[in-house]
Amino acid sequence: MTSLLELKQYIKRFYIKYETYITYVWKFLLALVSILVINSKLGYMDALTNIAIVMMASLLCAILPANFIVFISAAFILGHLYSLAMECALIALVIFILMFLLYFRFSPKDTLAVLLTPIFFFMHIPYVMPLAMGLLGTPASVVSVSFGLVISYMISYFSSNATSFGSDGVVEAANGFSTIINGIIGNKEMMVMIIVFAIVLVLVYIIRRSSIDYCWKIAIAAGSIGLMIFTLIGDIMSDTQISIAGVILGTIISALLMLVVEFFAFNMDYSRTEKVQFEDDEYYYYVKAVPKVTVATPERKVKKINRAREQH
Amino acid sequence: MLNEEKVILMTKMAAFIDREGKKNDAINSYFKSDYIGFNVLKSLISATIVFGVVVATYVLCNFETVLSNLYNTENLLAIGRRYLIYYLLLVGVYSLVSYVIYSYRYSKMRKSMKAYYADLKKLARIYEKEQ
Repeated sequence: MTSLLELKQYIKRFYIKYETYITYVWKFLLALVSILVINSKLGYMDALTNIAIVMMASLLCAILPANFIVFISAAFILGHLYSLAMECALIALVIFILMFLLYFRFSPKDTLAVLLTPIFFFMHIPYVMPLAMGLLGTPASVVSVSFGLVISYMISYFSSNATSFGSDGVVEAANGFSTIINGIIGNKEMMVMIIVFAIVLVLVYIIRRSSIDYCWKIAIAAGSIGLMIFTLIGDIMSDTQISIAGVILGTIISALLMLVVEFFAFNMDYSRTEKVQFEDDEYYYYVKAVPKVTVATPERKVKKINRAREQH
Repeated sequence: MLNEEKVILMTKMAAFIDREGKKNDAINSYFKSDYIGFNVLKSLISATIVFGVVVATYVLCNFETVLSNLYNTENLLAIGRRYLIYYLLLVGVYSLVSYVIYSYRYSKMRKSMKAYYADLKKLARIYEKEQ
């Protein structure tokens, strides 16, 4: 455990030292991964699957604010769907507009959750999201995770029914329109997942905020068990075909990932390195303020084994 | 000579302004009622757009039903009334939510600005001492 803690301190120090560059790298990687996932699921427009375009878009995301990744991903989705069929792109656009107008005006910080949910969804471990947002976020993240799920199911709907689109004429387009909307909204599995994720997220959040010992570990355990049970209940109630083995396996993997998150996030009270410039009457100041890294050494308990001899 | 205490204080304040200043300044330039009113107005507009988009989607989906309703005047009035109620409900709920959120944000901003002003006063005192 001590070497693990040392490793943690080392990583923390490393992160604080090179924070500026690491931020560029993770933004680049996140953008790259999300664009590649979109391309692999909906690669209908050849221009967008071009590796040079993908790289350029990712590099652009690396230097722009994190929310730009969401914007670029939405643009890629719309582009692919547009070359598939007009009505598909229109529906995706409607969903994005609703999402933006209703919710992200209030909490622009949460947009990354919307991006990460589909990524984990296509890695078959969407169960990470309710646990992670319950541990690190607020109950308001329920909305972001739900939107992320809607987008995930939308993408998988379009990618599995791709051949049936592309009609001519207004009436057919309108019919196609209603078919698509029914296909997306009428997806019972999606509704079950949204409800389950919402319940679990709030549950994890409540336990995490309580003042009992090991509350993070208890929150992770309760959240994972809750995920399995609620998914099972939802599956039985709404007669969907969710693979239970997949849920259990995915939940276990997610719980293990959460233990890693807990190890790094708990008690971190992470403060940033600040680089500021100011002046007074005599000097210009270029100050770099680095937060102190406190080494949390575990308490050592000294256990005396040969106490009997002391009494002599 | 560098006054260490002063540098620390100024660094803290500059960091605060770098992090929060732009956002807070934007809020601070309004009175509370103006700020909230302006944002609720923005919410009203976006709720209207949302409603428009949803209705347009609905119309596209159920093209035939809507067309047949269009020729039936009595039906049209009833439907119009129902839609008006939906619209008012959406706008009402959405405005209320944004009212709560933005009042909370305004008071939070005032609190953090108060701490900043306290630091400013402390800095002024250090200057006085120096002279």
